[in-house]
Amino acid sequence: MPEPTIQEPVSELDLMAYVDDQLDPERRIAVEDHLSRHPVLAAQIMDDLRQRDELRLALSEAASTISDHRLELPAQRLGRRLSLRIALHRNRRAIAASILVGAGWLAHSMFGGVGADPASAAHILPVYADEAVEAYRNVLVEARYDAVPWGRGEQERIAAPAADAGATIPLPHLPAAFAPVASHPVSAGGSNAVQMLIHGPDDELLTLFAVETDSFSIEPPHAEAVRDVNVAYWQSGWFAYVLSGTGDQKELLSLASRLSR
Amino acid sequence: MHPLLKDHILPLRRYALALTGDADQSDDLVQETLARAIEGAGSWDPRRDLRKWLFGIMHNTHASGRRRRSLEKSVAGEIAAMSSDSAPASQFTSVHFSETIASLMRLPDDQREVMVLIAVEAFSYKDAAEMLNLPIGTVMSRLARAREALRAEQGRVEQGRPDESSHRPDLRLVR
Repeated sequence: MPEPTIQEPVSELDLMAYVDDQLDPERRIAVEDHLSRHPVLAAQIMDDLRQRDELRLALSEAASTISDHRLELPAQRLGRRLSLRIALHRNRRAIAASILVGAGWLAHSMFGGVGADPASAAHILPVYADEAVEAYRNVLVEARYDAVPWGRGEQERIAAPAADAGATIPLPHLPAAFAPVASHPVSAGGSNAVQMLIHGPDDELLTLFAVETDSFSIEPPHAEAVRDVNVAYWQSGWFAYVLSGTGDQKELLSLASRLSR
Repeated sequence: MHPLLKDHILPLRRYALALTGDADQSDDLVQETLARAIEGAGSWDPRRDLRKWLFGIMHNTHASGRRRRSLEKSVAGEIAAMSSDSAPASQFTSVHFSETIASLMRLPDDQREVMVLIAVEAFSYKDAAEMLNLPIGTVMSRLARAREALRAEQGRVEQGRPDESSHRPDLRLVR
């Protein structure tokens, strides 16, 4: 093994990167050590640093004299759109979490000993409640701005972006009173999943999460309230469904029953 | 100002000013940049650096505008306009700062944009290279030439650089 070099010589590029604050601490110290032994060079570097600071100040001063008046409106519009992008990004993560609420609850109620009683779902829901509610609210915000950037909904089968490209999730047949607005494939813990945005019979906004499970079962819908958002779960074969909305819990259960037939 | 953008407007204005050398044109450039950003907002990934994204849009907006206006007045003419009586009174109130900006404006476009992105806006070499769609080595050499020119402007003729300068070890870039 060759002996490690004690110190590589300081180069012009090092000096430039020093001025631009782009060196790691170790190299920075080496450059400073070098400069301490070369006062002429140190003075030049100081000049470069001063020049950099003067440029920042000069441009800032000149730029700040220009009124932002003309920018207010476009900046507001852009800010709103970017906020929605952020909300959507969070929403996608929250959707995955809220699907787990449904899938977890189903698995728990079907296979878990103490979880056989649907009431025990209340112990599971609060774990994801915030994200589930946030997901639904984000959808509402996006819908309000007509900014849901998903593909148009397909009522029957929508391909999900899973490792198995051939995998699809059967979505319930929507009665005529339900109008699909958009659909968005998501990945939930390695499972195929789809979120659909639906206008209900009274034009209320609903989200339907559909997720592939690893257990076959037929379970009728059950409803739970998570603060101001109601959710209804059911399972049909290998697939679990979670319907969310702000309407009356009984009504949501009734809608879920219509969808689950 | 929208909270997501309030910290980015002044830097965008600085960059626009450096690119155009003119208060009114820079205002137009910032406007057009925001308009393009609104159109392209759907392509912004929230995990990406918003400032870098906006600067990239401004660079592209200016570059396409520059192509359109290839016959427009030269930078030298713009500088003359800046220092003339017809320039808006709000511009460059400090004489010293005017000189600083005038020195910057005398740099060729490609050196000036690199100088502003890195020295003024503190972008990493890598980010600047990505924004300008250039190899990082090109960015660094433009920056070195820009610094040299600015030093020469100030009558500080380069001398006394160490012999080691011809031997260039790899940079330890931290950003």
